[in-house]
Amino acid sequence: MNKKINLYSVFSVICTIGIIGILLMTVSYLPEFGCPKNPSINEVTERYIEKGVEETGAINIVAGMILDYRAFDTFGEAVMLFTATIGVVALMRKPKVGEIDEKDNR
Amino acid sequence: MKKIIGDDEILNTITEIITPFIFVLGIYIILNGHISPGGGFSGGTVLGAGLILYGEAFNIHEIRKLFDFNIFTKAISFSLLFYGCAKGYSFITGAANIDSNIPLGTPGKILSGGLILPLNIAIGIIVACIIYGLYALFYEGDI
Repeated sequence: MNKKINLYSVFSVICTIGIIGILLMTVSYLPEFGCPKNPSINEVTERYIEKGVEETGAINIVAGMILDYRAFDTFGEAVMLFTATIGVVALMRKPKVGEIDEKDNR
Repeated sequence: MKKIIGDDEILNTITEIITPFIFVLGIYIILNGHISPGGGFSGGTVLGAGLILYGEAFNIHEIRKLFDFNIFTKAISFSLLFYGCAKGYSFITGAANIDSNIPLGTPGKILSGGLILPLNIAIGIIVACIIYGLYALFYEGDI
């Protein structure tokens, strides 16, 4: 039993060190801060600002972005809220007396 | 003379005056989401906060007369379903280079922006139901 726990702890330490090494290597591959060739500075921003009104029909550019260009992102947010609430309903809701009786009679 | 249901008379009186304005403000924020700052998330939060205030000042059974668990689940599910279907249609036709036949209208009017207004309404319904639903579930154990 004692040996097992030691094996597990050694294995977890090795795993953690490996993951930390992989993540630090990934950080070293990131582009330099403020470099003009960075992927975040591209034509997408200009396109949103210049053609946003004409393509989405919305004056509020934020609404045009979150509900037209990136609508599935907002869908994911709504589904996340829905899932959280369904979890709370499943855990916290006390059914009324009538509902339980109906289920028992069936 | 109205019958006062809750305990606190000051809270009840203020709530009776202020609740319609909160609901109108929330609906205004949702419906004008594509013209002015706002949208479904903020407007839905205002609506849910108004419902919470009403349920806190008066008895929560007053809200259950028009908003119970059945309506709660149906509103959230159908809003999500509508959102997925409408935006899925829009994305599929856009990716396949087919005209989706959704009119954009003139920018600046209420009825413009294609699918943005109905999607804002769907998001507003979901957020309002969830804000109030979490309060009712944790406070009372049932919606």
